[in-house]
Amino acid sequence: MTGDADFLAIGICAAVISLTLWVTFAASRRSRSATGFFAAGRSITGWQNGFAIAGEFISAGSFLGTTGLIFYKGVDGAVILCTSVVSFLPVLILLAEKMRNVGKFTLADVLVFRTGARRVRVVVALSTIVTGTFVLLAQLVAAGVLLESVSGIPFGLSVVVAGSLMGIYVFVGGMLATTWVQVIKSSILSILAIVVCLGILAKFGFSVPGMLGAATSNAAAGDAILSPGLIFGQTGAINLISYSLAFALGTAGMAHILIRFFTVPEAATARKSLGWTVALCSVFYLIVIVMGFGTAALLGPDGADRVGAGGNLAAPTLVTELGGGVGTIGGSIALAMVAAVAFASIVAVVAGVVISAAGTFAHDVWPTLTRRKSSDAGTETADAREAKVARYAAVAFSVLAIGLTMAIGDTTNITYFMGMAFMVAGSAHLPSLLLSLGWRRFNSTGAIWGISVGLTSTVVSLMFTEALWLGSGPAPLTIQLPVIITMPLGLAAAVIGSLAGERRHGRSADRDEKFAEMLVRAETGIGAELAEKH
Amino acid sequence: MTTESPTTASRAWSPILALPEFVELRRRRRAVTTALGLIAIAMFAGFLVGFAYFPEFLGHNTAFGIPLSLWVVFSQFAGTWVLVYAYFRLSRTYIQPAADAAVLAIAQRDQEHAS
Repeated sequence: MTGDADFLAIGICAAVISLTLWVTFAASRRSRSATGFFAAGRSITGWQNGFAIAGEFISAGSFLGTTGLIFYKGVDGAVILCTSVVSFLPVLILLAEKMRNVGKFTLADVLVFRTGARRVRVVVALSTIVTGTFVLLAQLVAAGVLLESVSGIPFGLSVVVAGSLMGIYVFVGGMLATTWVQVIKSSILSILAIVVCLGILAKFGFSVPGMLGAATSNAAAGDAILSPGLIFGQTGAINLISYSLAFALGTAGMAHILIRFFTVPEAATARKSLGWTVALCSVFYLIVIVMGFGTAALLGPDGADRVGAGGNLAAPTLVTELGGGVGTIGGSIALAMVAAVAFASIVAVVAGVVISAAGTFAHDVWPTLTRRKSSDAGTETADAREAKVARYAAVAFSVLAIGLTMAIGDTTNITYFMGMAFMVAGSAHLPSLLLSLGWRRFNSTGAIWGISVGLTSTVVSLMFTEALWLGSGPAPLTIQLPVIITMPLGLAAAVIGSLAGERRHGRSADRDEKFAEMLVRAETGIGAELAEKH
Repeated sequence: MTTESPTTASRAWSPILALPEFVELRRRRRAVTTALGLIAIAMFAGFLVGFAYFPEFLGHNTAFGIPLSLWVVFSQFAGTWVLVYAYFRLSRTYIQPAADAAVLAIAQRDQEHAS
């Protein structure tokens, strides 16, 4: 953490990258067909998909940023962790199995199942790409900042390496390679987290109260770190509620999470995979809580000076301390491991986002741009063409993301990019998805209104929050993530749009028949996409 | 090689919704979703109310040496595990038999129409 090149950290990072690249090239043989590229041949097992979703979901910020947040703000920092775990309940209960049965390659496939409207595909694609861009920027900025701090690799080079890798994973190996990169990341992360957790608890005789006592003695805020309020206390209950809802409901609208259900052979596997995800994420997030308080407990009264103002170096500082301290072999190895895991985390997350964005561009936007006939859609030739377009779109997205990240630099508040992504997902995608799967009168006008209003209101409302307010005086909105406003707006727009569309265009002749087909398919799996046979 | 989905274009879907087996499947799915959904909402609301309105109480009182604020956080994890387990169990023992019966009834209906 001196800014000098740490060759041990670079070496371990290189080893992890080599492993993921080997897996990627091994997977390329099975990614040639469209189903192979977009959905890994629907051959992913429950545990693999569970690990992959966890790998997609747990970003570097989860264990680096949140550890620092708990170190400084105590129990309020854990709010994002428990809401994230709860967020899998709506996915499990309302969406996972139905998505698997109704969908094919992208989120739009579910939303247009009944209408087939191309304009809905374009709007959903736009929203998916915007969400993905927020996540990509957040992760790539994090990659640059963290690798520069931990291993000494310069910001720009770190961004180029992470961005190039995500392009290679997707271009060469498609969804199968992306899945395995995420499985590898989740596995390494889990092992490292368990070792760190045991190391912390061992220092206090495996006594959690003992660790918390030491933490309150050393923390700058003292006993207050054990009481809620250090983050949300000054802005009122409404801020806490809105912030929590953004993360608790946003996951159920995240395209790159939801398309993972298309990679499994049937609905029961989609369900089982979420069991693995919840188990992995829960254990990992509980360990992050131990790491946050453990950092305060172990680093002593000068801990704040050592972890920096943002707190992102809390975890690296903690593991160095556990390894024996700065300058020791154990400390250097521990720090190098964290650097490797941070890097693996970032490339796994961004690879998932890139395949989601590239997939939706190729499958939902490209046919409209090239004015392809509707009758051509879904044929093997068309699907193969889309897979080819998606590969090149992945490269284009990677180059664009690298350029944008370089342009915004390392001083950008990345937390807001992730918050924005969850807000768009919860406000634009989720209401339309739920109405699409359960409301007979929902139509293409409702989908377009709902997604457009959810997306626009998110971006506009965030401009009035403290983080992005450019006007004079205090920001009009004291809520950090105003999803409590934007989600009802997205829902209302979807409902009103559907009713207005019905009034303007009348009911389509086959509305009830298509709705019945969707219900039967969602509930029983009859007519659902089948797995590839090898 | 890609396997094709079964041809479903010729099937009339609306009458399937009226099949008693399919009605029962939807009833069971709705019952499970509503019950578990309400429990999840109550659990999450409890967490929000506790953190928003009782911060001092949660921070200054302990159980087994750990402050109640952390127990509230842990309760969200434990509650999620219980709800996931309940959903898995109910899916296997309550919804899946109804789904199997519905699939069978649809197949029989298709056969009758074909012959």
